[in-house]
Amino acid sequence: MSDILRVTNLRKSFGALRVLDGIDFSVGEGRVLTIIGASGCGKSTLLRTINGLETIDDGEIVFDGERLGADTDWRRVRSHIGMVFQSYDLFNHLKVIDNVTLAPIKVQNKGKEEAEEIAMNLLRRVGLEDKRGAYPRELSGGQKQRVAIARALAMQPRIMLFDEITASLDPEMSQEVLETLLELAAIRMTMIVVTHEMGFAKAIGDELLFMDGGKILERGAPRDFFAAPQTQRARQFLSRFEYRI
Amino acid sequence: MELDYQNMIGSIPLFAQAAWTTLWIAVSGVLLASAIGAGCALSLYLEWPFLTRPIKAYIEVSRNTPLLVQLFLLHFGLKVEALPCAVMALAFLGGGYMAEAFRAGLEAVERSQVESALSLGLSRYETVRYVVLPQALISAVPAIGANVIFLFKETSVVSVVAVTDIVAVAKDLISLYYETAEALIMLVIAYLVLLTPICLAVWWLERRVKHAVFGR
Amino acid sequence: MPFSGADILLDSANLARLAEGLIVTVRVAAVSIVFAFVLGMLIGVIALSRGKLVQIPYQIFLQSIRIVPQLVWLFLFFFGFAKWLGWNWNGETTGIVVFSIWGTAEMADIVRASIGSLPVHQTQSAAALGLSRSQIYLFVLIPQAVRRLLPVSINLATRIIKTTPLLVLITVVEVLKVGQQLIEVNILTNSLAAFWVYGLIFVIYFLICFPVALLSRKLEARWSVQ
Repeated sequence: MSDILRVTNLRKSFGALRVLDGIDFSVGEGRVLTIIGASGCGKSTLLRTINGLETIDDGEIVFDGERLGADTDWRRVRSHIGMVFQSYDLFNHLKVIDNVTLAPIKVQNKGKEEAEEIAMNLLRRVGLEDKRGAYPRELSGGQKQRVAIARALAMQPRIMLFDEITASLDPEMSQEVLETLLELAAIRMTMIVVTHEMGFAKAIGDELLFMDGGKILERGAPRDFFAAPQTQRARQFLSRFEYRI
Repeated sequence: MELDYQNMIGSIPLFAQAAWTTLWIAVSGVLLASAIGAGCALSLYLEWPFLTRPIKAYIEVSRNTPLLVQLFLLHFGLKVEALPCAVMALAFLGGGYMAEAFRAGLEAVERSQVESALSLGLSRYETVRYVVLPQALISAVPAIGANVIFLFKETSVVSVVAVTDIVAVAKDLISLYYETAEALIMLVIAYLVLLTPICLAVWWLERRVKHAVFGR
Repeated sequence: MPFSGADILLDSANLARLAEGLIVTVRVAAVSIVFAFVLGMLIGVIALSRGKLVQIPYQIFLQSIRIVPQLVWLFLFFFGFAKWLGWNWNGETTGIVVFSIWGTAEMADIVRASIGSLPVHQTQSAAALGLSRSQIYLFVLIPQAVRRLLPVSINLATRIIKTTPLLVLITVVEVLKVGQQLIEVNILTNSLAAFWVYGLIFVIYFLICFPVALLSRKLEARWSVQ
């Protein structure tokens, strides 16, 4: 099985603050990697470096055999990497369908009809085909996030990055969105999922990374990690979730 | 006070013709100002080096000096002819105000909108063109509308550089024929006729944008 | 000679006359601003009432002042009302009256908007803490209203200052009129007199308005955080 993404010794600082301090990992085709850790542990920054929203200070990111850096054609690379953000960020001035077709039409130069056909298939998959003509402000948070997923999928990416996509949703809406992700995992979409939902992290991933202070402290099968965390930090982190009722 | 209605009716053609001049100056001034403002705001937004400082200086100077003084300097100081001078001064003044309106609109578009457009593979240019600009324009509508009304009203001073606008006609009627009351009433009516539709249009547009589903 | 004609600005007598004109300009602006702020606050607070008896006259007052250019108001008062009603107003008085009325309308709207837009839950959570009605106003509402109001009203002051050159059209000998006179005297010997004199007046207005505008923006930036 070939690695679609390989990250080696990645380092990144904001001023004096070290956000990523020697990160190594790789993701194989069709695999799901989940990343957990406390706020500020660097997990979001890590995702953002992968599609060039943040520059890196040191180390290497190899995507699909290509080393990413300052002279990368980000436009092409990003069109192969789908990313979904916590704040949905649908384009407010565009209808749902146009949100989904914008990039296929402008970046991949697809015809309007073809792009809309793809978009409708995806909207059907996320259960929102009846919302094609709605504007973002007419949707609930969960619906917005599912459209955002469809929008990223419309580019037929090689890998999907999810950055705490349920963090601003209530439990019921989180459920809708997480189910969509489980379906994607079932069809072998390669994904990196940064999440706060421990139950979900347990259920979806093939591999799990626990990050703290810009480093990966633990890695392994999610089941093993939750059953027997090896480090003190991880036990502390997990114990916090037990208090939650 | 007895009004000479015959006289007022007789002055209608004079006012109508002058109203065209006023309208022409205002429309060309507003269009030029919008173009200047949009250009300035966009180059500030894209952080074009070398242009940032001069543009910021221009915005401050144009907004912090009176139109009347700008007109005097341009016409008497720099010998620009009356009509072009009126349009240029209005565009100079309005450009600064429009730049601020567009800039505020651009700033209102959240950074994360840009990031999600970029992460879809859109280029910087496409991101601005298809994602940032449409939303910036929508949120700038109230400020742009206020500027249009403001600039229209500001045209009332162009008679100082010998442009025959409606104020000039009224002044002539007062000083040459002493038809003070008639001229003043006609002057007010002329402005009401010119400005009311514009105010209503701006108000309508503002409401549309405010309640629109495509807004924010 | 790149600076030919600039010597018109080096003559201390000329500068002294311009300064006299400037004093008139500043006087009209200052008096108008004071009237506008005081009366505007009064009317603005009254306009907070949502009753028709208040709102209808208030909106008529505001909109009728706004829709007509200030120059037209100056003409109406100077050539019209003052004569018809037998008031013996000179240009300066007319200017102060018109700018005060216009400023009052704008100020009233600023006050109404900045107090009216305070969120209701501010009052409610203050009341929930046990504050009395007057305490709520004194410690919660007014401080917040002032923070919204002050930057915008300082901005209004610069708008009033920038409107003062209109006085030249109703025979007031303010800074621009003095400039005109200086140019007329010198035009035969100095063909660039207009450029230098109007250029100086342009700079003077900028030097007055820019710092005030800057102050308004600084206050707004500082207070808009919360």
